[in-house]
Amino acid sequence: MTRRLGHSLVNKSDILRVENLKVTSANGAELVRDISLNVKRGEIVGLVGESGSGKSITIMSIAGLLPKGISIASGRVFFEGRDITKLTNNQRQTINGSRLGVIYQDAAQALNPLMTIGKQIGEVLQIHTKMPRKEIKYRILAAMRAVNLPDPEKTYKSYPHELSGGQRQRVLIAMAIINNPELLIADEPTTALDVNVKIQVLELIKIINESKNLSVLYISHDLSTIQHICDRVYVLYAGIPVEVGRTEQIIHEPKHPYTSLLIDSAPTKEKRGKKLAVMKPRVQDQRGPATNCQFASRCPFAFKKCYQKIPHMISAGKNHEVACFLYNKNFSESEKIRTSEQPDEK
Amino acid sequence: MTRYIVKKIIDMIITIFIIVLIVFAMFELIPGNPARIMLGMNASNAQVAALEAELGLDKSIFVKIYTYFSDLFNGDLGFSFRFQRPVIELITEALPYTLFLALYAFFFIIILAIPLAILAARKPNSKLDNFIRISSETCLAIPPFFMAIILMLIFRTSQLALQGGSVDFDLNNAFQSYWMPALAIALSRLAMAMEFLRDSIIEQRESDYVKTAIGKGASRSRVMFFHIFRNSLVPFITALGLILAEVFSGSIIIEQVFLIPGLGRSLVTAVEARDFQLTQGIVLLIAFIVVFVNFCVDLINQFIDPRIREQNKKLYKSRNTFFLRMKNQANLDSQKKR
Repeated sequence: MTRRLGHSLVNKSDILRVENLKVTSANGAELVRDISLNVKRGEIVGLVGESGSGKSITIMSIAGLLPKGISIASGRVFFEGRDITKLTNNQRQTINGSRLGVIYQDAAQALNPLMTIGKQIGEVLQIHTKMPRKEIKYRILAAMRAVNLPDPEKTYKSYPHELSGGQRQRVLIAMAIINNPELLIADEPTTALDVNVKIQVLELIKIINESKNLSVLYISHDLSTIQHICDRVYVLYAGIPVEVGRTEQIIHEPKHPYTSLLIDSAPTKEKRGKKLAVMKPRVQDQRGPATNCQFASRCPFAFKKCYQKIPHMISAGKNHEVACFLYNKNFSESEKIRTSEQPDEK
Repeated sequence: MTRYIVKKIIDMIITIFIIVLIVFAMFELIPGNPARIMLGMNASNAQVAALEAELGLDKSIFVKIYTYFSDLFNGDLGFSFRFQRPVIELITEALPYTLFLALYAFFFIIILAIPLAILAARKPNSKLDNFIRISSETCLAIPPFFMAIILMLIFRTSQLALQGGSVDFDLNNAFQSYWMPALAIALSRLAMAMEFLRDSIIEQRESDYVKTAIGKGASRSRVMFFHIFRNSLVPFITALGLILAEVFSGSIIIEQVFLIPGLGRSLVTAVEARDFQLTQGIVLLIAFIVVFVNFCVDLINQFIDPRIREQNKKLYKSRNTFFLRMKNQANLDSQKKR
């Protein structure tokens, strides 16, 4: 897992830095409460969390693709050192597709059903470059070969419905990388795929990352996928990162109770025959600002303080941070006694 | 593809055959003896019998069907006793007027519906959207002949209106002289086309591929025309097919208002005079046009949407019966709905 650590230390500049991002919907729900993260050049960063944790909304705000009624309330997003939260449509169009590529979750929906594959991949070049047709076609075929699409000449002329799920996902990847972007955002690109196809797609992203020194922000709800390709992981809970660290730290020494539960609830070989950890269901209203630890109501270790204040990120080892009062040295062990109910004062 | 077209043409011929049969049966069932009508009330029974024998009316129904079809095959639609001329001649004379009027109206529908639909779809349920929809639906509620009268009243002082009332059919200034009847038909049929396209655009805009296009850095207009609009065309064109048929029927009445010597006027005259052969001929012609338009719509949609092409290929490849095909079609429809 430490395979590329040295290389990411060489080039330390951040390609993407998100500072205190807050995204709200029209009815006042805080979909993303306070997210800060950074992606270094050539690094693969994972963003993991359950559905509703705000991971997709985070990347949509980075890519400027937020649906109607949802908007960035505060915070900044720096891409290549430039704040991209307040760009005009025209400025945004020069970034999307050329400096920033996005791979979407559902390739079957993300491709235009009435356009040939070749045209859809080539559209990126058509928009951003003034290449002659012949060269565009050459580049498209090259990109198709790079993502291991079978029979590029034939696939060039076929339509999305004629391809398999894995092939469609490869088409999306080809589309995202054809213009050599600096950052690739992958929104659960493997959710809809078979296990063996999934591994192939992950390997492909890894290879592209290594060969082109491309930074990747990889979103998933699945820790095993994240473990497979990411250098660093952010664990999100209810729109707030609760733990950050290198992948092996997160997987092998999780600090936050949520992360440990997430890992314990995933079925693995070792846990065969044993009961898996089950989290309490989430009953939470995301309207209004957060006042306490969002995970407290489901946390097996929650104590009084957890219902009163928001925990901030504290260091839990080298490159490892966690937002949990359990690791706060200001509280004595006697204070950290579990209370299952919220205090009355609220 | 060619295989599909050939099969489709065979389908079309079968449909037309059935239509001919129905039209024939309809005129057989209408009470009244054509020979008696032709000769008038004062004719003697012997005269009527003689004319019946001449027209072949006394023959058995099967012989009549046979002669009807063989005549039709030779391009003979019969003889109009009202005008004392062959029906085919009368139709070829009247057809250009109607065809031109209908296509002109159709042209108006297209050039009005597309920008209006795009404008309306911009912000669904906004003031502009509501205004466009309410006014087009009001137009839908007004019958074309009444719309024509309103237009006449509005433009009665302008030079254009005078030309609009003229009946001269001259290709050189036909666009000028037919704008009013064409617009009257177009306005009353506009709503359907417009709403189909609007709904389709709104639906397509929510699709994920639109997000992909924006993610590629495509400009707004590019997203609109290369992706959303193009993908909205299939329901729009299907609606246009229906509308073109309606435009033809709309022109029948409009021709009365503007005194245009087209098919519609001929049809009304023929019905009034109980001119069976001419009526039959015109009804058949209109039916042909509708069938042909539907055929074209199928072909165009196929050309636009590769998925329809694929489905049709599968549908027509298998050696199946008509009913199996109907069943498949029903399945496809329910799938689409889902």
